Amino acid sequence: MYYGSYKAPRELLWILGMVIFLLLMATAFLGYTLPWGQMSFWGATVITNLFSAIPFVGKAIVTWLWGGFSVDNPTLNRFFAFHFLLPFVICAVVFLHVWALHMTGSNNPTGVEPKTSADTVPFHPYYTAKDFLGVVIFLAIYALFTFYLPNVLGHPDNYIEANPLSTPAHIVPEWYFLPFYAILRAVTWDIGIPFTHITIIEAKLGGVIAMFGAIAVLFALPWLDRNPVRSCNYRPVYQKFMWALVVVWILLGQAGGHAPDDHVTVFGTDLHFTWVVVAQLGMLYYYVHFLVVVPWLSKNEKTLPLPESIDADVQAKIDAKIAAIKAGDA
Amino acid sequence: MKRLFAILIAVMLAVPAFAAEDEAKLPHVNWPQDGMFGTYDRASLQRGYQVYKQVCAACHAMKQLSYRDLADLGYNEDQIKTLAAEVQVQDGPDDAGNMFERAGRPSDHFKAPFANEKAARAANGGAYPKDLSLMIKAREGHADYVHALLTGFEDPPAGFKVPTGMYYNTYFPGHVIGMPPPLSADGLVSYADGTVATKDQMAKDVTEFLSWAAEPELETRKKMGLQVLIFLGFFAVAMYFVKKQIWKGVKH
Ligand code: HEC
Ligand code: HEM
Repeated sequence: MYYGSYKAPRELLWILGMVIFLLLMATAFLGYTLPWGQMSFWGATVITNLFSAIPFVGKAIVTWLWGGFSVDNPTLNRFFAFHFLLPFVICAVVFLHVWALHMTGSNNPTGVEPKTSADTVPFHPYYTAKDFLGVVIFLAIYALFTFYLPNVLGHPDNYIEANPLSTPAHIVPEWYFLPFYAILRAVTWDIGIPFTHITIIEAKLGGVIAMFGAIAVLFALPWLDRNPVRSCNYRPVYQKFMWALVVVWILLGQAGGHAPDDHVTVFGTDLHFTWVVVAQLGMLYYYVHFLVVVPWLSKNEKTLPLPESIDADVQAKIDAKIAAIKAGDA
Repeated sequence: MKRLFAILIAVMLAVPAFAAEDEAKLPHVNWPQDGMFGTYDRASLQRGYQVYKQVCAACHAMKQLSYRDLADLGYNEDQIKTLAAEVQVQDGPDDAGNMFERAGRPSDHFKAPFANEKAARAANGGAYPKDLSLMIKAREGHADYVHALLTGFEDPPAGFKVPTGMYYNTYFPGHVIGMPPPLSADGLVSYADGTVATKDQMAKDVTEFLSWAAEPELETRKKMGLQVLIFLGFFAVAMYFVKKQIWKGVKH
């Protein structure tokens, strides 16, 4: 997103990436139900119940998903089957993703298309070596969690067996879903026709729409942002909004992890407002960012001059470094 | 790179900064299994099993454990056979279609004190003594919480009404618990190894035992983790130099 890799001609590549993202979310959700602890059970209940917000057919869809009239053994069975199946679907889409990548070639931090062979290096050995280093570092961090901190990212309640008769005090998803969960719970009001008592969209459905909408806007990003300059390095204003988005995402994650009515405390100081307010403001920023800021900047931002080529940019940086060293010596 | 670190640090700061203050701070115990190289204390595990068997097992099941799992505590096969044979378990049906009682075997799961949840509640004033197999992992605060709970029975502060049949506990959420203080007096058990059975000693030992029950794989996991990290560490350093060598001729 930061380097604008979603822009023409890479829209298909981006969309396929989003499909992988969506499938991955589904797989992870289905997997989390498999240990069949309290969080598994109630997480499955909450998420499948979201579909009941769909007008008219919602209830029927939920019964169909469950394979019965509540989350039960048939649900677990089919969720396992899907949890097994989806990773292979993901694998297939990854192939399409790589295929699409090979049609356009990779983007780069300047966002400028390569012009001559001076701009690029072969994937092997340059990127195989570099990526291998990255993979090994990732695996080391991953191993640290697996072998030494296996419980820090989990929830203690999932070590309690699933019990349909006892609802946990706080139902929370795994950490990577928390920002979306915050958006789901941020919509606390019904949307209706003003000055009447007619409700068009109930709060519950509103939350569901907001949550899926948050993913949908990402699908639309290539068309929301048509600024010819790709990289944020040359878009000083958009760059600031991008970092704001990162901060907001972290705050949304925090909001998702706390009960909506809990007061926000920072280092033990009560700030006298609740987490649901944080979630609502976060959601507001999220949508304003993608639906107002991005399209507006797409037309109106004064971008910085782009480098002549990737090679020229690299050369300029090296020259600047040498100049800085010389200045330091003098 | 600098920015990436900034984000990582921001995330790490964000989590504890917003953490709500705990109701009562749990006293921290230095458990022998803590840390990168920590292992269980076998003598303490055996004492803890004794406390579980003689005290807690009157109310709490541990259905995920079999008697043969006790080999991990340092008991040999004969000792385990003897321990298992102390209980009578229901088996069957036999050829005539009848259920029958027989002495426990090492492959049997720990015998539960009550036939079902209803029976357990009926015997405990409506409160349910939960299965302790995974208790340590199933509570915020883990071993520290269970140890604090066992030693946290006190007189309620002035004005705090505790319903009859319930007890005041500093660390239980809401402070009103249906479990009578299980370790109410020193010397409740007499340890086979001669250790003085103070209340705190028993609480520590039984918590150590429950920690093992919840994570019997802890020692293997840490040992394997060390090997994996050493391997990946060397691999990372090697790849760093390989990458540097390969990219030497490239402007970047
Ligand atoms: C007389 C029966 C009885 C005995 C003996 C007993 N407990 Fe309990 N225990 C209970 C009951 C009943 C509860 C449920 C309390 C409640 O939910 O209010 C409980 C709850 C617990 C809890 C869960 C607290 C929570 O956070 O939900 C733990 C841990 C526990 N007991 C540990 C032990 C240990 C360890 C021992 C042995 C030293 C022991 N108990 C002995 C009856 C007993
Ligand atoms: C994209 C790939 C995958 C993702 C993201 C994923 C994610 C997860 C998650 C989050 C859990 C919950 C773990 C827990 O909390 O204990 C889980 C459990 C599980 N997964 Fe997957 N999984 C993937 C692929 C697979 C595949 C290919 C299989 C093959 C059958 C599989 C089988 C299982 C099983 C059996 C469990 C339950 C075991 C347990 O809970 O410990 N998963 N998965």
